[in-house]
Amino acid sequence: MISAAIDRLVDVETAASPSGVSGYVAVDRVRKIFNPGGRHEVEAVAPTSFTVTSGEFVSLLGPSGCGKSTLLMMVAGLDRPSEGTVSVAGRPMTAPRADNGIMFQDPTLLPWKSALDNVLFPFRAMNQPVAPHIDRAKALLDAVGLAGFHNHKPRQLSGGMRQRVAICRALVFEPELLLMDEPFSALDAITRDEMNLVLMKMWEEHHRTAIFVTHSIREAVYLSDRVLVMSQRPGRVIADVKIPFARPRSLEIEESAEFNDICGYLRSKIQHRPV
Amino acid sequence: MTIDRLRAAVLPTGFAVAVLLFWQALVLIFHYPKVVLPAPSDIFEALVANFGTICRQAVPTSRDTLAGFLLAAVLGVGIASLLSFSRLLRDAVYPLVILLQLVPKIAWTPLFIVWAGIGQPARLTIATFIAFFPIFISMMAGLEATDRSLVRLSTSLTASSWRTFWLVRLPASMPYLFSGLKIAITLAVIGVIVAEFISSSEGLGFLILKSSALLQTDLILAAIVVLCLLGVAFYGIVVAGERAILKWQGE
Amino acid sequence: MIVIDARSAARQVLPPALGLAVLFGAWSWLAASGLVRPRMLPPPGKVWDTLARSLDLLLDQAGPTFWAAVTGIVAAALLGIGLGIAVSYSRRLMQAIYPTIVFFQLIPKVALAPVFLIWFGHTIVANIVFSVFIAFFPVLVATIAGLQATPPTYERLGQSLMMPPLRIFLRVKLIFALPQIFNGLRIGVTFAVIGVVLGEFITAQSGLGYIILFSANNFETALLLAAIVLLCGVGIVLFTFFLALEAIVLRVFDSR
Repeated sequence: MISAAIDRLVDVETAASPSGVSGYVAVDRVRKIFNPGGRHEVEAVAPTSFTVTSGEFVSLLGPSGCGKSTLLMMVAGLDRPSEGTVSVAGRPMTAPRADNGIMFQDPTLLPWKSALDNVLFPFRAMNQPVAPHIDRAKALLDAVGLAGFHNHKPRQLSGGMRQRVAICRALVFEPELLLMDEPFSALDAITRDEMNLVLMKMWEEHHRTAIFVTHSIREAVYLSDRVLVMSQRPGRVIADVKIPFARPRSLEIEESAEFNDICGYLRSKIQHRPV
Repeated sequence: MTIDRLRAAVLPTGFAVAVLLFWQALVLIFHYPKVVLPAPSDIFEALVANFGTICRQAVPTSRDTLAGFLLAAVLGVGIASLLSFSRLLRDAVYPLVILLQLVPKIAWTPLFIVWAGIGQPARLTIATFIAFFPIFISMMAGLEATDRSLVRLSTSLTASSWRTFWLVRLPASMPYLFSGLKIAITLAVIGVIVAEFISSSEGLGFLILKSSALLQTDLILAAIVVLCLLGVAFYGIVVAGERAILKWQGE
Repeated sequence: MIVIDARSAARQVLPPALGLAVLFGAWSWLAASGLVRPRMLPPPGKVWDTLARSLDLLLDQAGPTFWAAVTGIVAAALLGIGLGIAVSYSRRLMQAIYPTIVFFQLIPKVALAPVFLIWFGHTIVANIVFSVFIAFFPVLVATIAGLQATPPTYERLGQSLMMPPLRIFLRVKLIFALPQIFNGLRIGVTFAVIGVVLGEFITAQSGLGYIILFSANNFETALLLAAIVLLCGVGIVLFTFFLALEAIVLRVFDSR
């Protein structure tokens, strides 16, 4: 059952907790408790640490409700840890910063703005002039296959097309860090494969540091340099697995035995089964 | 398809015409006194004979209605927007407004006449007061119903709360606002009419009440016909505004 | 026993209480400051005194207002729901009548109050009939809208189970319409009170509306405000009754 490939995997449980962590993104003994002291106190994230180095694509993989999205929101500065620190580029994250591009589960497009205007939204939000970036925004839309849809309103686009717009919006202001919260989980399987290809292509072109939250094992393995497996709630990182495939990756690697072995290993980790 | 559409146009018109004919026949057959039930033809005659008077009285009614409505819109949108910036302020004010909303607002009209005297300021205040609540409440609902993920996106892009309001919350609340405006415009007409009933020497409400004292039922109904046309026209203006904004927003 | 989360309770109660305190504080200050003549704005204490002193008189007048409004909303409910069902039963009938109903929704119906005076004289009957007339339309419109709200699959399910149309209507469509009908009734209640008060303004015979107008004409602002407080009470009692009825009926028909 277990292939030799597993031998190359590194398991975080055996590694010592990284203290004095360094890396582009450093999550240091972060814990999150909702309604502390209240009747509905919930520990969403148990003290956990990990780092992401610059230019790396890392997935946070775990069962639904395990706190992986909460963890991502803390990295984004949209939520504050109850204990521990998150720092990005060496500075502690206390509020959202202009060098984060973010994608949510739904495309979160302004329904009253065209695709192009939605891509340009970050500049409006940051109160910057829009005009100098129009060409770049158009080029991004063309690159994700939305040439000819620049002036369509979100309602006129399919679910996959809307998420393509959201990818462009996350990249348009050239953020250092790309944060994605299950961006494709609401899409059907075929569209999802397409979106993974689009995302891969865009990421390989722009090569930003990326953290990708998902509950799909295959998606995590296909996209990532490293997969961090999270436990059931209260979530913490229980495995840190390197994905060895070379880039650029094609969808064919999903057919390989090695790919399936890694998936099997990750599944066993999620289900707490001994390997 | 076309037959369906034809039917959708013919049936209601036919029904309305049938009601009018029935009414006319009723009066012709049973010879009701004109005071009790004037026939549609009597009302039409009264309308033609008194057209100048009715139009003259329609001017202050329209003016006060529109002015009160606009003032209510400015206040309702303004205060709701202000409250959306502070959780504490919102929690302190909003329940009180809802409580106040429970009182039949018509009941306050005499109080405004005590405060503002008999005249245009009182009528304007009453129209504003009565039209304010639906606008304020729907605007509030719209601002709060704004897709939270849109707000989160804006926050993640380091937008200030003012920019988030301007770029996201305000445009997102437009459909709600207009549903409130549509209620408000009909209420503004009602407010002005009631104010004119209670104390006024001008306006369609005054004309209606005066005619009722003189038992001129045909003139009452003629004035009401004009009032209805005005009411529908004002409503139409708001609907046109809604269409324009929603078209601009999303086609 | 229900344990109340003290902090969330405080968060819900404190701000409105604070708002209320500020409102009363401003009112008292304004009344005491001499900026406004006391005849125009009596201090809260004076309104309370007047309410206590004139309670007998006010309750006497609240009676007709309350019962007229009750009669108004009950009659409007029966008529509105009945006619709504009748109209919805035939698509043609509905197509013919609905635009007229919408037209009546739009026009300022209060303007017709004097006509009811001519028909029914300066009596409580005029108030009641006018109240029915005003409260009837929201109930009717809500009933019609509610009867169209049944998801089509439920109707198809009924048909596939070979339920006769009348049974589908009673057992499926009417139940799905209940929330909207109650919505209409809630609007209708406030309209019924408005109708009665407006009728009392114009007939000027009895009722809280009459007291309000009477005290306005005599600059007895304290009595006016006391009457408004009592009218609030009438409105809240009626409104609460229909909320309770709604809760009970919806619980019976909800299998949760």
